[in-house]
Amino acid sequence: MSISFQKFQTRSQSYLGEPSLFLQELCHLASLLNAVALSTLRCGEDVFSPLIEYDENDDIFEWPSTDGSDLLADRTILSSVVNAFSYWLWLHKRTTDGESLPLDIIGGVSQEEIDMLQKARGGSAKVNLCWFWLIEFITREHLAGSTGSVSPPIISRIHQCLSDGNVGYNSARKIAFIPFPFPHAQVSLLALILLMVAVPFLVLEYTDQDISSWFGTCLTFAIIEVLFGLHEVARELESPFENVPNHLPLRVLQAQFNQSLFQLFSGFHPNSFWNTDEFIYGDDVYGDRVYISEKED
Amino acid sequence: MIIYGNIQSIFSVDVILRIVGGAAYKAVLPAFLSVIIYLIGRNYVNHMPKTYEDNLMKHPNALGALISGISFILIFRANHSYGRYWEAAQALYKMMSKWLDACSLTSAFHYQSESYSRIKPPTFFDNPKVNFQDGLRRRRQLGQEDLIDFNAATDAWMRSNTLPRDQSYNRLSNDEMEENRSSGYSNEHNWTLNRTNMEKFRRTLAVSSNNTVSINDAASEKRNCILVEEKRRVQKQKRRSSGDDESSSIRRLSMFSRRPHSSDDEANSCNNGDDNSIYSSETEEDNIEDNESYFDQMPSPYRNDIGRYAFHVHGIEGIYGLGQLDGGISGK
Repeated sequence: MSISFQKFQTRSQSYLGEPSLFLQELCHLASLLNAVALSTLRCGEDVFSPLIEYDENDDIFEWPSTDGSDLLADRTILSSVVNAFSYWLWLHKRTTDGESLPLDIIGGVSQEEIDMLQKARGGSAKVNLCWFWLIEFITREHLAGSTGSVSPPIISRIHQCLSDGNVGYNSARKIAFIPFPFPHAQVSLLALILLMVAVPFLVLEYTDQDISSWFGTCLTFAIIEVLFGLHEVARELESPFENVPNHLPLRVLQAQFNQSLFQLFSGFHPNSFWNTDEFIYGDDVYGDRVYISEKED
Repeated sequence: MIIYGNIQSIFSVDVILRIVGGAAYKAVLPAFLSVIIYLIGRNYVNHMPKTYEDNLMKHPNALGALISGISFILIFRANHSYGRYWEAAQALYKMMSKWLDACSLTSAFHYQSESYSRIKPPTFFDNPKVNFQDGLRRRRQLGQEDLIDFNAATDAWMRSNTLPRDQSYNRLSNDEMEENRSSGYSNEHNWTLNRTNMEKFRRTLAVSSNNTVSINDAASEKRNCILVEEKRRVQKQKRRSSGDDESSSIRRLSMFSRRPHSSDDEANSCNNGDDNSIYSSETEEDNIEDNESYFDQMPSPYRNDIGRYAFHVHGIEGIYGLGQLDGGISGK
């Protein structure tokens, strides 16, 4: 699974050539783990969420929208007006963040990985499988010497971080899987409907109907608007992985995670390592590759 | 997640007018229903009290209990929903940051493997000459002076081994060429520096006519030392062509030395004639001697200084080696 990293030669001047296969595999597994975790958060238990290979081409790269506006297939004015009216009249469907849209994975997903992930039933098993792949890979490579002579107690920090990340995932999964308690939601909605009927009579009792009715009308409207607004805010917030556009932007988070992973092998520290790119690759200078010989001196 | 407030509008009208995603417009529908109930009650239900005794409610406290109970339920639910939202965001960020931490740690440890020993920089710890090269200044601050040798060697090597595709690229201006000639250096070949930042340096230089270095002008000093380096290289070629066999196999141009040190006096010439030079000739000679003595004791990856990195390697895979080293996957 070789990944093309052409853009990093232009983005990071200190980057040379293709990164090591170790780093490629590491970033692929981490990206896969994060994507599977996010997709299990935004979907149900057995809904397959599409995962595709991340396209590293800079020309077509753009961040996903945070409010799901890029999910709309039809972006005409008419469609937006229809969308707004349907939202206004409670006719819209509560959707998740691009459930049908793929999450980008560095290096793509192989057919074997897909098969294994489909065999794992439930979101927890899928994520745990990917987590196991990553931690097994790191451990195996460490034992083979890929992490140099760094001592095992220090290496255990890696495992500690992976474990902490798993705790974070399960915290998010708790929110995604367990809804707001039904009895409370039922009572609050029932109370609001009671108020919706009771408030007009209350206003009728305590406003002067002989002079005019506009004040009572406005007062009724304002009271119910505020109370139902508060209720609707609660409904939007209680499921953070649903309710586009008030959801948590998982696709943006995945894109940010991928970009962060890319930086792991985009170059050495510019003030510390040899700045060797200019005489190894002549591409930026002369438009051609420069070869180095030892005939000098 | 809706990003709002980015558009400059009067009284944040864009926030008010947004329908999709807001709770305000969704609450309009039940509010209208309530208003309809109100209007029906007003027009068709004759309950208007004639006296106090006719009132349906003697006092609003009767509804107060209901209102307070419903308020408590609503606020409790909104509060907990907000808590759920933030807890989810917090958990997501914790998850991603920890996993990214793990990958960063692994990468950092991976670069310490044997596969990268050829391109690792000399450590401060193992090379006291690097560590205490110029007092206790940071390496980044040393870079202006230290990288002179490295850059000059790189440039000299590039000029001598590659044919520039574009002769006008990075070429010195006519004034600078004339300045070089007036300073005693005959330009025998094209000045095509391969470092793009050299051009930037050169254009911002203020080199005096007698080609001396002023204090605190590291860029001009750098350029002058490049000139010196170039002179040495050309003179070396001349000596070779004239049959003068010099025994030095590899020029010792390393970032371990502050100056281009050589047996001839050319290396010191870039500071000659300037009283404000930050280097005195005595310390310069001392440094050279220290370099010579220390140089043989260096660990083998760095003993051949720059030659190991620049001159001894074939091609891309050879110099950087990542294509061959493959980080332990093949078990090398």
